[in-house]
Amino acid sequence: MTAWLGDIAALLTLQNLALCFTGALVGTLTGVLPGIGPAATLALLLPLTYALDPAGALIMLAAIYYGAQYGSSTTAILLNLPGETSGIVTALDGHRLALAGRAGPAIGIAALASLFAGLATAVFIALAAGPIAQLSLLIAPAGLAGLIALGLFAAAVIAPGPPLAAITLILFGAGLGLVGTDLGGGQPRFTLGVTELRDGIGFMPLVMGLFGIAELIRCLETRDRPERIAPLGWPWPTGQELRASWAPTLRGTAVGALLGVVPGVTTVMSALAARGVERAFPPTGTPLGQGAMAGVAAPEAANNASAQSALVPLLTLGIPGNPVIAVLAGALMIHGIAPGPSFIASNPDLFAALIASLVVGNVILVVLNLPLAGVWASLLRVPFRTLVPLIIVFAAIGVHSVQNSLFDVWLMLGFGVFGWLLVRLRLEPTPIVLGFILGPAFEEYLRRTLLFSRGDPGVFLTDPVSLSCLALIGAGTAALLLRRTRRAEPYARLDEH
Amino acid sequence: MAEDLKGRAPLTSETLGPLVFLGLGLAMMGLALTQPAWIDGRIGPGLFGRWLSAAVIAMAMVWFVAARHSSTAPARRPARSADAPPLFHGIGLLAGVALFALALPMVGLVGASALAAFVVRWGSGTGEVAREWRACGIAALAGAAATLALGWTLLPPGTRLWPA
Repeated sequence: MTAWLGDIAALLTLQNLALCFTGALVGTLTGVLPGIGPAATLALLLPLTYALDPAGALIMLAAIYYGAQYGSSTTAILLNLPGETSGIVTALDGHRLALAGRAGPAIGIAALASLFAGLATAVFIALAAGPIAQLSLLIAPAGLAGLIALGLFAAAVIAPGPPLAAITLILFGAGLGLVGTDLGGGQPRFTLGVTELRDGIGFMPLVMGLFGIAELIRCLETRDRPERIAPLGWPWPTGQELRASWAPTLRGTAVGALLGVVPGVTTVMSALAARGVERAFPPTGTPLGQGAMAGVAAPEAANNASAQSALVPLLTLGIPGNPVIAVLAGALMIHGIAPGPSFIASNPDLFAALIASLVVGNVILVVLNLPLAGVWASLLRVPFRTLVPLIIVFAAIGVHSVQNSLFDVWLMLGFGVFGWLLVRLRLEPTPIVLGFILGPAFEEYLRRTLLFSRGDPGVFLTDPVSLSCLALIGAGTAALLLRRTRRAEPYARLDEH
Repeated sequence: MAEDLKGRAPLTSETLGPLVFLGLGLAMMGLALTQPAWIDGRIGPGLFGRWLSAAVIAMAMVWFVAARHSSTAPARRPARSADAPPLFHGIGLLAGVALFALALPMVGLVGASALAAFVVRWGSGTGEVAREWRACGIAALAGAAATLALGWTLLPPGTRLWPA
C-alpha cells in the first residue's frame, strides 16, 4: 500500500498535474455545452493526447471523461437541459432549485457530492480492481468469450431503442472489426483490395465519423436555444442544505459504485436508481421533485461513482461496459495500452496514474466548478453554430495526423455519412463501436478455445464461466420475449374487436 | 378502428433500419464467402465473418418483422413531424470534411482548414452564404488561425501547413 501510494506521488509531476487540469477544464467546457455527450467529447478531444506518453495520455483522457460528466450538471441545473443524459435526473430537482433562486448552492452540492463519490470510488477501484484482475487471469478462453458475449448482450438490452436493433448493430460493428489482416493466418480479409485497409479500420475515423460528425449534425438539427438562464448566486450551500445532502450522497455513491461495475449499466441508470433509493427514505426538508437538495446530491454522487467504477470491467476483463468506456478503451489502444486481465499486472504505473488522475482530477473539478460556475453559465450564451467549424477542423486534423493519412479522413467522412443515416433512422451508433472493439477479442478467444478443444464447440457448455454466461443470456432473451408478448397482447385483443 | 390497425404500415424509419442492415449483412456474407472458413482443420479467416453476417441477416429479418408488427400498433406509431430538419446542416458538415480532404494536397493544412471551416459554418447556420458570408469568413479565418497554432505547437515538424 505504501509503495502504491509512493507510485501515485511519483506520478504527480507538474506536467501530469497540468495535463489533469487541462483535461478536466476541456472536459467540463464541452460537458457544459448541451448536446454533445461524453463519448463524442472524448472522441473529438482524442487528438489532444497524441503527443503524450501513455501515462500522461491516460491521465488526460480520464480527466476529460469525468470532466464531461461533471460539466453536464451545471447545464442541467441552470437550463433543465443536461449536457449528458444522466443530468436529466439531476435536473428534476436541480432546475426547480435554480428557479427558486438556489442555483448556486445546487451547483455547489452537485460538485461536493461528485467530489465525495469520485474520491470514494477511486479508493474502491484501487482496492477491488487488483483482486478481480487476479481472478480473471484464472478464467479460460471459453469463459472470457462467454463474458464478452454477456457484456455485449447486456449492452444491447440496455441501449436506447429496441434491443433487436442494438444486437444487429453490435454484430455489424463486430464485422467491421474483422476488416484487416487475419491474425490467425496473416491473410487480408474484407479489405476490398484497398491497401490502406490491411491494418484494419482505424478507431479514430470510425468514432469521429459515427460519434463526432453525426452527433454535431444531430445537435444542429434538433437543438433548442435556452430562453433564460437562471441567476447563479453564491455557490456555497447553507449548513441545513449540507445536512440534507450528506446521507443521500453516501447512498448515491454506494449505488453508483456497485451498479457501474455491471457491464451495460449507464450513468443515467445509476442516477435513476439512486433517486429511487431516496424515495424509500423520509425527506429531510423539501420532498423529492419539489427542489430537494437530496434530488441533486444522490444522482450526482451516483452518476460520478458509476462513471468511474465502469472502469473496473474494462481494466480487469477488457470489457467496456458502456459507450463512453468503449471510446476510452479505443483511445487506450491507440496509445498502445491493451486493457484486459493482465493490464494491472503489466502496467502498475499506468494503473497508479489512473487512480492518481481520479483523485487529483476530482479535486481540480471542484475548484473549477465552484468559482467558475458563472463562467460556464456565460458559455451557454455562445451560439453553438459558431463552435461547429472549429470542432470539425480539429476533428479532421486529428484524424489526418494519426498516420498522416488522407484515406483516414475519407473514411471518417464515410462513417459520418453512415452516422447521419443512423440519426435519420433514429438509431444509436454506440452498439457499433462496442461491437467493433469487442468483436476481434471475441474471435480471438473463440479461436483459442476451438484450438485447445480441437474444434469441439461443446467446451462452451462444459466451462463453468461460459455456461453461466450462456445461461444468463438465455434467461435474458426469454425475459425479453415474455415482456414483448405481454406488450403485444393488448393490441391483439384490440384487433379481435 | 380494427381495419385501421390491420392496415399495412408504410416504409418508415422503423422498417427502413432493418432493411438497411439486411443489405449490409448480405454484403458482409458475400465478402465472407470469398474467404475459406477452415484451413487444414483449423479456423480460417472466413469462419467468424460467415457466422457474423448470418447473424446480422437473421437479426435484421426478425427486427424487420417486429418493426412491421409494432408500427401497426397505434400507441407506438411515431408522431410525424410537420417540419423535418433541413438537410443542409448535414450536407454542409460533410461537404466541409470532403473539401478538407480534397484541398489538403493542393493548398496545405491551413488553406484546407480555412475552406472546410467556411463551408461547415454555412452548414451550421441558416444555409444562406449571402446572408452569412461574414460569419463564414470569420470562421475560415478562425479555422486557419487555429490550424496554425496547432501546427506550430502539437503537430509533427514535417506537417505541410502551406502549399508546396
